[in-house]
Amino acid sequence: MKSTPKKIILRSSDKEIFEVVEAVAMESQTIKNLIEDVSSDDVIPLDNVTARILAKVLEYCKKHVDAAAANENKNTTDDELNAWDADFVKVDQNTLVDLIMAANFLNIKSLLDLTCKTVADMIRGKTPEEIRQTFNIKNDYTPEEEEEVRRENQWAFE
Amino acid sequence: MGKRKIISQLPHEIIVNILSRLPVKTLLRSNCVCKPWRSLISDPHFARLQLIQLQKNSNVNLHQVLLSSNPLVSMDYEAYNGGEDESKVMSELEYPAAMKKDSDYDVDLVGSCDGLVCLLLDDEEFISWNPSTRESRALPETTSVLDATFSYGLGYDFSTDDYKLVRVCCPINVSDQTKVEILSLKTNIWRATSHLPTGIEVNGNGIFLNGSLHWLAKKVISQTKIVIIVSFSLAEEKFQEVVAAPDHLEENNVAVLGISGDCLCLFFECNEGLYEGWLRKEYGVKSSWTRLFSNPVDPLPGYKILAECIVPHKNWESSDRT
Repeated sequence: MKSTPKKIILRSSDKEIFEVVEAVAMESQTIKNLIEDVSSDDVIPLDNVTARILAKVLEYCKKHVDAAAANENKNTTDDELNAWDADFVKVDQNTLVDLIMAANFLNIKSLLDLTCKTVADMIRGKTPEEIRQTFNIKNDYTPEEEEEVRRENQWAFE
Repeated sequence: MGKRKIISQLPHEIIVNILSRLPVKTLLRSNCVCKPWRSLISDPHFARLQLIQLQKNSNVNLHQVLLSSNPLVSMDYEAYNGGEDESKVMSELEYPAAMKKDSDYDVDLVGSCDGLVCLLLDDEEFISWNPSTRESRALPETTSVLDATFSYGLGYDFSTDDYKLVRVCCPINVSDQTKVEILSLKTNIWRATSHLPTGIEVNGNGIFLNGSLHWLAKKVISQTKIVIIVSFSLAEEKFQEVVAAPDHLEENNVAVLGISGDCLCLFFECNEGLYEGWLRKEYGVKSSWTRLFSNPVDPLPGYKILAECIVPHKNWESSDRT
C-alpha cells in the first residue's frame, strides 16, 4: 500500500499555519535543511515571511513540483511553465520585493532567478532618471558629479 | 497602508544578482543612477559575475569576430547572409582611448579572453581593451630583448582571478631555449617563467580554453617536423599537454586553431588542395579528432585573405557558411 505523502507544517511570521506536501516544502533549501534537524511533527517557523507572501511562494513551489512530475510523463511543456511564471510575477513592486526577499531567505533558486530577472527587465533600456523614478531611488550625485559620470559613459547614451 | 518598498534597499548580493543580468549599455547608464550602484558596477568581482550570467543566457550573441586591422573592424558572422548586406556584418570600431590616434600603426590582435582583447601595436606597445565597455589601457613593455619570434596568448587564471598575457619567445638559434614571459594584468609586471623543451617551435597566437592557452607548434623528430598542439596552464604557469594533430597535417601546411563551443578545432589546407576542419572532442582524451568537413579549396570565396580571421570563430551549426 502506498503511504500518504509526508506533510510538513510551516508557520508564517504572522502565525498562520500552512500544511504542504514534503516535496513542495523541499523546493526551499532552507526548509530542507530545517526538516533534517527537527522531528516530523514539529512546526517549522518562518519568521521572515508573512502569510500573504508564503502563500504565493508555496503556490509557486507546488506548480513547479507538479510540472516536474508531469514532465517525466511528458504531459506539459516548458512553454506552459514559462507562461505561468510570467503571469506569476505580474504583481506590484512591493509584492515583487517581498517575493525576492522570501526566495532569498528560503533559498529557492529558481524563484530568485525569476524575480531578479523580472526586476532586471524593468531596468533594461531605461534612462537613469526613469530608473530612479520606477524604483524610487534617491539621486545622491551633485549636478557636477552626475555630469562627469555621464561623460565617462557617454557612448552608452547614444 | 504599507510603506512603499524600495528595491535599492534589497541586500547587496541581490542587487548584484539583478544588475548582472543587464546588457552592457544599460549597465553603463546605470552608473548614473546613484553612487552605490556605480561602486557596485565598477567592482571587478561584478564583471566576473556578469560574464557568468551572459554565458548562461543563450539569447545573447556572444560571438563577434575582431579583425586585426587598422582601422579595427568587428564582424558579426551570425548576421552574414551571403554577402548581400554587408553593413550589418562589418562595423568599424573606434580606437581604444589608450591608442594614440595620430599614428599609422601596424595593429595585431594577440589575444582575446572573456571579451577582453590584447592589441600589439608596431610590435612594441601592448594595449588591453574591452570593446564592449570601451575601457582600455596601455600595458608595460617587456624589457627583455631577444633574437626570437614571438607568440602570444591572453587567458584567465582562476586561481588568482587575474588575466595574464603570455609571450612565448622562440629563439632564432634552434639550440637555444624557448623562453616564456608572463604579464599579470593585476600586478602590471612582466616576469620570466618556465621554458619549453628544445625542439618545439610555437606558431601564431594562443587560444584560451579550460584554463589553458593552446598553440600550434612544430616538434622536431629526427630530421622531420610534426605538427602538435601545446597547452600551457595559466594557474600553474607551465606547459602541460602535447597533443598530436591529425596525421596528414604536414608542417608546411597553413593551419589555424580555433574554438567551437567547449572544444578545440583545427582548420588547415592539406596537400591535396582540400580545406579541412577538425574538432577535438572530450578534452584531455587522446586521439579524439573528428573531421567536420573537407572541401576543395577553389570555390571558397575570399579564402586566401580571410581564412585566418574568420575561420577560427565559425559557428558550426551552419555548415555552408564561409
